[in-house]
Amino acid sequence: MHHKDFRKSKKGQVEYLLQNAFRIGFLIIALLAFFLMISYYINNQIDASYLQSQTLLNRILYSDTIMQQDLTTGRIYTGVIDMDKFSNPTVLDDGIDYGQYQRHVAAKLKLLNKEFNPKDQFVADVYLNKDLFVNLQTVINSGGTGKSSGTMYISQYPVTYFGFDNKYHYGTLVVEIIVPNS
Amino acid sequence: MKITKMVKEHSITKFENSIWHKGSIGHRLLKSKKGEDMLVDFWAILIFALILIVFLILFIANKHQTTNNIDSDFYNKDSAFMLDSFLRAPYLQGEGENMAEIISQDILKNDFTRTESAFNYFFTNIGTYNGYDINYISLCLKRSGSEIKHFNKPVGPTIATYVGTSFNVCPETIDDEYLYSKTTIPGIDGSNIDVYLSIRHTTKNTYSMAMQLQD
Repeated sequence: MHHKDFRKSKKGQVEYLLQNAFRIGFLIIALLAFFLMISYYINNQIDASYLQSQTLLNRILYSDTIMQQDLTTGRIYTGVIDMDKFSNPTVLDDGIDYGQYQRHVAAKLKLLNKEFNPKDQFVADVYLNKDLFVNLQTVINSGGTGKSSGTMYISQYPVTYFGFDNKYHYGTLVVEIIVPNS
Repeated sequence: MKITKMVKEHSITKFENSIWHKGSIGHRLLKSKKGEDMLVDFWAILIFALILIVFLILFIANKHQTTNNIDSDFYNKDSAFMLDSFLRAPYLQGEGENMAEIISQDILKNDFTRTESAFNYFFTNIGTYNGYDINYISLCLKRSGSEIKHFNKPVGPTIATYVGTSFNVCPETIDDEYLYSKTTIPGIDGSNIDVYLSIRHTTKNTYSMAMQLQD
């Protein structure tokens, strides 16, 4: 039988397939491995909530939004809270504007006085996006998950504040930031 | 299998009789169409396996690198804020000096009572750090590279676990268990004083901390 005729015959095709079975199998494995490697390297599930919370946190702590500022030099005294600013309930909403992304993060700052040890005494609190914070806090506290919930990050920082009694006090600034799940 | 058998059957001591010698069975097999295909297959598999191993090693090595870098960067900034906040804080029993000035004076007098009491007071009830339980806060003072004073403040509810592992040196690296910040303040005698703040923390548990702190 002519070679071409043999390859066209059923027997020839089966033999050809059997001869290359190993190669076909190896090719399948190689392709699978290739796609697996690509899928491992492409991370399409990025959780940026921590990054968002830290960006906001740094903006609050290092800006003049609530911290004391020398108006002559413009110098900001990080860690020293200006109570004139902190007693204004809308200080964060006025000072931090994310424009159309305003609703992407919410925060609560709580100032506690250390002089009432062992438990700190509440002094004042301010909110950023208060409605969103209260709604999401309720969902988080009740164990809600998914897109209607959020992730809360809490930090405590030692600070100083100039009280209404015209004296400096040591306090604890509790920062609670909620980033909605998206 | 055939090749292996043939290799065993032929003597390798004499080149003339080796299987690869021109005219031998091995040589003829490798030079044949089938033999060339086998060699190509062999090299293809080998190279593919090598590439796979290299990629796997790279993947395992880099898996958490980006996340860790972001975390570490922010941790350093946060601990820097705590240190900054402490050094700027006024000494409450003083005459308007801040803590940086009190530290300089204490070093000159070699009496650290004021620094220690202010440090303990200032960091009272600081127990949470982005979902981490803080167990130890440590302040360390150095001049010209040598340590002059070290304070440890145990905090947090799980302190018993960490009694044996409190800081006994100024940490100068950041790892999974603690973070630190360093700054330099001027001493009264003109020397530079390095101030370190180190914080040891435990495993992250954002949700449970959120539940614990709400009131």
